[in-house]
Amino acid sequence: MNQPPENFDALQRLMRLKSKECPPPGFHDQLRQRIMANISLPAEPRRSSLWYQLLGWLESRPALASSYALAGIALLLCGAGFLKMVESESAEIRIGEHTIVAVPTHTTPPPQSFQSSPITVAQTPPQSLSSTNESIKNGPPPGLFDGAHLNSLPASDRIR
Amino acid sequence: MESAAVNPQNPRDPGADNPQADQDLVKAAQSGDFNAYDELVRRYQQRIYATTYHMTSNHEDASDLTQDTFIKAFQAIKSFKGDSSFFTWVYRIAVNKTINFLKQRKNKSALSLDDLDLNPEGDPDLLALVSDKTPRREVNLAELQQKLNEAMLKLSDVHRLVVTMHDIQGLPHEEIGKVLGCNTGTVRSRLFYARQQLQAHLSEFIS
Repeated sequence: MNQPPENFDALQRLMRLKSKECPPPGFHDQLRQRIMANISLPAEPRRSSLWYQLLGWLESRPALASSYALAGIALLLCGAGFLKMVESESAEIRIGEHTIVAVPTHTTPPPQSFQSSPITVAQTPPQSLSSTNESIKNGPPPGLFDGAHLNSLPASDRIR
Repeated sequence: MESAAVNPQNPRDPGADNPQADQDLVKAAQSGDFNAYDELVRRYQQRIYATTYHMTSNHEDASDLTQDTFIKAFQAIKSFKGDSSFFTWVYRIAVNKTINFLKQRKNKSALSLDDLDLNPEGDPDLLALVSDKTPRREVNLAELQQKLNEAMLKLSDVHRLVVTMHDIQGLPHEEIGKVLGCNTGTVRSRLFYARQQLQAHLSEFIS
């Protein structure tokens, strides 16, 4: 079944109502003056600088500007942290140097007194050597070797 | 009272009566003559404003878009080769700006009908239109205006644009096709679809 063709006359008449909407009197004169004032304004020299071009570019991309700002802040924080770490490491090294220097000065006698002390030559053999000879003569001290646990070979197997 | 609308019975653009003058004005403006450009703005700003207003349903937005359109057109006027009329060219700038604006303003419709002056008392045609052609005789003009704007905002941007240019501003299909960069068949089919949608939204006002 064929549908009748659409009739939009009533709608078009209604839409004419919208064509009656208009701004307050004098609006278009003011608008034109505003437009011409904007056009005839001399370009601000500072606006043409690279910095303002960058700012203008970032203004139109707020998400990108925010990410750049976050990256900048993160870099600053990393830099600050790295500096702090380097400073603490260098402080530890300095403390270590002081310790190394301080130990010999307090535990050993001054080099001057060491050099000035007379060299003494031993007149008798050292005490330890004489005690070793005695222990050879007398055998091992009692209990050093437990005879029950010592491996001993029969007399026949001894090499002559 | 000034009118932002163009008489649908005479849809020619203001410069069409004197096309040579338009070209002269454009040439003068291209060489930096502000007065020439001022004359071009005076000729076309009402139509550009009307288009942006019917597209946005907001007085402030339409005002800003009209201003941006003419500033942009002045900045680019040296690149205008005259392949189309100045009106078509500046209209295209306005349409692109408006569509971009509407994309950014998605789902945010702000009506400012109070800023506009309907003044039915001074317009017998309008009074007759409201009293005779709508089934609800007691209808309030402001309410009807609001309903019309709401119905328009329910259309997609391209469909609203076609209705604005044809049914409100009275531009011929060919001119709309030039502005939108499509053929007249596309314009007609979009117009048909948009009218169907509007008719459904405004059924209570259309018998």
